[in-house]
Amino acid sequence: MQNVLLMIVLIPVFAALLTLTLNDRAHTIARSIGLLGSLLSALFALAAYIAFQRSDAAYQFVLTIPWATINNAFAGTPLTITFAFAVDGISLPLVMLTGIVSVMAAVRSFRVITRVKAHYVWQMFLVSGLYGVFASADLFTFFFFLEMTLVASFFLILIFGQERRQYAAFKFLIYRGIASVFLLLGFVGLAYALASSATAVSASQYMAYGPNFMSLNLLQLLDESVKAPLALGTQTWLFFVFLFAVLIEEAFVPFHTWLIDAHEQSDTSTNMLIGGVLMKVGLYIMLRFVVSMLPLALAKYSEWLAVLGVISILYGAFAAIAARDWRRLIAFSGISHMGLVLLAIGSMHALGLQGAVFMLVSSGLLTALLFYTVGAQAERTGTYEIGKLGGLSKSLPVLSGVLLVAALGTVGLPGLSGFISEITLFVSSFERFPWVSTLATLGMILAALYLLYAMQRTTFGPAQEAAQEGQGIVRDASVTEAIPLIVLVAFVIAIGVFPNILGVVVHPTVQALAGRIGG
Amino acid sequence: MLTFTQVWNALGPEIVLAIGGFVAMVYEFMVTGRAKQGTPWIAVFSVLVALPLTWSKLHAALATYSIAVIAVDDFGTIFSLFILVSALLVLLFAIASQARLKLAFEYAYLVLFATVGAMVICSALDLVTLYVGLELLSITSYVLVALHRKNVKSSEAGLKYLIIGSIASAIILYGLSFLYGIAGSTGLSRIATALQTAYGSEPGFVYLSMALILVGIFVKISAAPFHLWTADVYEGAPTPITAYLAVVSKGAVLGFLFRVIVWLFGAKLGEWFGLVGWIAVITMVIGNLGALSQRNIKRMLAYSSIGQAGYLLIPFSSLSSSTLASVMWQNLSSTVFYLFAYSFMTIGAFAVFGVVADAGGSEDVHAFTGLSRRSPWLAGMMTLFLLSLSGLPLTAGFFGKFSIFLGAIGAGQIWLGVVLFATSAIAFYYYFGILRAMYGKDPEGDRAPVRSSPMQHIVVALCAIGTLWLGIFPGPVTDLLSNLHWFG
Repeated sequence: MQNVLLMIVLIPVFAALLTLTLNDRAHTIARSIGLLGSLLSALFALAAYIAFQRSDAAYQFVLTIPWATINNAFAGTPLTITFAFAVDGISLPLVMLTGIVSVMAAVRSFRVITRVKAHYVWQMFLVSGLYGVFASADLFTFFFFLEMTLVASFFLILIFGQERRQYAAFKFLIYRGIASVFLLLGFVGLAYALASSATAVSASQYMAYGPNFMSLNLLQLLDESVKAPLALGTQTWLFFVFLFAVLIEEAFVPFHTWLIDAHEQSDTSTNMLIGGVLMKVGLYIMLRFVVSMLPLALAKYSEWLAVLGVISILYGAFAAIAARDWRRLIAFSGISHMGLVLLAIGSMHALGLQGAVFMLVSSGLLTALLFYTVGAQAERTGTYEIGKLGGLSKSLPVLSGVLLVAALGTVGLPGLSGFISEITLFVSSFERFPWVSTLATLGMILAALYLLYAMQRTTFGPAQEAAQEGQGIVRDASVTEAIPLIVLVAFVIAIGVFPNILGVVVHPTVQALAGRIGG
Repeated sequence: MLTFTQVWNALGPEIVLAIGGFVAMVYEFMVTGRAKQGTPWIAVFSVLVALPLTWSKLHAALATYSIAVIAVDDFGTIFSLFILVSALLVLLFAIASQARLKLAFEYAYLVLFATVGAMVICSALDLVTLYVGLELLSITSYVLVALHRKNVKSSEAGLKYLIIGSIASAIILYGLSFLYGIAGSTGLSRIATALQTAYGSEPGFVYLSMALILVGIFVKISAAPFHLWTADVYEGAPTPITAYLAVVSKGAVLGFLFRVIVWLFGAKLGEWFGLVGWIAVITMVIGNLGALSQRNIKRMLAYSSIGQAGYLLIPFSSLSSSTLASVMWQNLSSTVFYLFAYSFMTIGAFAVFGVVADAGGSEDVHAFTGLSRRSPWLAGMMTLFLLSLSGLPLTAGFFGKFSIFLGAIGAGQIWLGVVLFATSAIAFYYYFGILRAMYGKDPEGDRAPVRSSPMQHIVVALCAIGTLWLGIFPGPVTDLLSNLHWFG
């Protein structure tokens, strides 16, 4: 089982390379390879989930592949850079999320008819990058896969987007490029800071490098940060470097415009992957690096996080109300929901952290589902504009039904994944910030307002022009199209009804993490 | 009295190249017609002979030859290796471009002589030898830039380069003359000793001479604000020569910088690192911002190479801000590593550009439009070089930048590292602009596949292998670098 994570990450890359060798017109083969690659990776992710030791809070399936050494990097000692993989209760759910969404996106990409080969190549690279980000246990490995998602998404937006795709792709590139710069600064700063405060290294390391030792390995860094916590001053610096990167990555106000453009211009499967998975990376960074290794700074500025979170919740919600286009609406709604996660992290409580992980997974599934459904509708009606849609429930009952489930899940209807996420998250945030949390719940009420209103406009009422044009001709979801919908809905319901399928994995890790930050 | 063995040990590769140069020259005079095409191969052959000779000098015990005023140390050897590898790639590139560019075959031996000059700079221990090496490199470069005699742009570029380069040389010479005045000798070790007392008695002259040398060198490596000639000269020169200027000239002069400044002014370098750091920052910013607005790819790559000069100045600045030996070794290693990376990715990018510009008849970014359809292979290779220039992981460029960054931090110069990555993020915009043209747009008009010769493929493939090899398996090279005895 040790290599399971490596398999998960490498399979899509092999699929991409295999696709590259194909003839430009071999569409069916390209589609099959893309689907098989995604499916195989997802199955390995499932295997990892089954083999995961549920009671264990520590990293599992640890695999380290030495890559390069930079000599004299720290006080005359070398820095060994590795490709290292491992998952714990926080990253495994996100690996699973990537698995689910990537398979559904691969199915959705069947609808792509131009430059099919290129689409699957870049999509496979994006999927591999996403898996890699969540499965990595080394700062370099993490950075490498993050850059892979950057390049792959850039090409997916640039080649397969709508009219203003070039603008959107470059905006995406520049924003996330800058975020990467800050992230890299934070990583190297973290490694340096923890290296200089290192008090004990293993015997073999001592023999090789002496008492001063620097590493980018996450497990080692975590170890160091527990044994010899950083001074508050250092933590604060690093905290703000990371926070800035996260605010951009996560498209929090005022750095949110790139996401709106990217979503509005991308095609559906790209939107599913970006909105469903890539947009969870920033908060994953927060959980992985900031919460676990900079607890003092986090404690000092946790109110700030909560306030930033609430600003994003409310801004996202109000902007979603004003949105005329489904994709903009989903994008803003995503920003709003990610604000909740920030609020939960600010609460510094085990339950809050658990809610945060639940919210990341739930929002990932629901965002993918929403993008899939509105994409399928737009394919039939030719528009994403809410005002031009109407009465779709008659001609497209399945799609409309799924849209309803997705909207209700996002709003937080009990029995669906959104509810359990919100309830755990709010319970802990109310304990710590009653006032701020009250404001945040307003965001949830607004979500009900804009989502249900948009839903109602789209599916009920008289059929509008755009929908009428296709009356009688348009067909509801075909079987291949419906499978992803059913699968996604099944997961949304499963988490909503049996939250423990996720909880057993998440719980020990967040408990341990909360112990570290005193929650 | 020097024996022949000693001379051979000290200058073997240079002798081989010089002989090769003269043979090529005579051959080119004597034959006519198609036989002339053999000339560059003579040059390639002599570089191929010189390479293992140079390699065998690695880890050799330090030897200084007082009459020949040449040192055999790992610093000189590793720089020579970089110069030879780059010269080889440029020569192959020039051969591949011959069909269309109709370069006069003089370039073959001119490149060899320039390479000898470049190698001498890096191992000389005497002001006169240093300067002769510098001039050999410079003067041949002036001629190389103006190789297209009938092309107005080329001769104008040659003239411009001649004037600016000569002034820079003169400024360096002026600075060196003060050193001779202070020490009464041209030997670097004598001067270094004399300077120790001169800092007390004649501080003005010491600083003046250092300032003059620095300014001259900054002109030659096109560091801002002395960079203004770069874009014009790079644009006017035949593309292989542009690659030579960007890579070999810059690297060799950087070797000069390390050799002279570290040896002679090492003791007082700490007072200057701030200034060099600022020069590096200005260079990175101006180079990368300047590239943003360029439509002509050659000019864009010229500005990009100004930015790269800024990156390369960071280790130099870091070197001087710390007295720790380990910091010095790390910064020297990262400079050399980045130079190799820079050589592969830059020559590779110029080589693809050369093919595409030939096919499209334009040097504009439009020439790349739809390249992914017209030649997926070339587009893929260009993507690799551009990603490496942008500094994305698993390419040589990332590892090079990362080790420069670590070196800067090790020396406590975090701000330089921050600027390095911030300007790299700016660079994304223009590098990815070419990617957009290649992948994001359909070919306009001409949809025929881009024709490229086997030779062109070989050059591009060699550069790609180098870029990937240093990016994916940097281990052997970093091990090699860390085991060097730089200055004996």
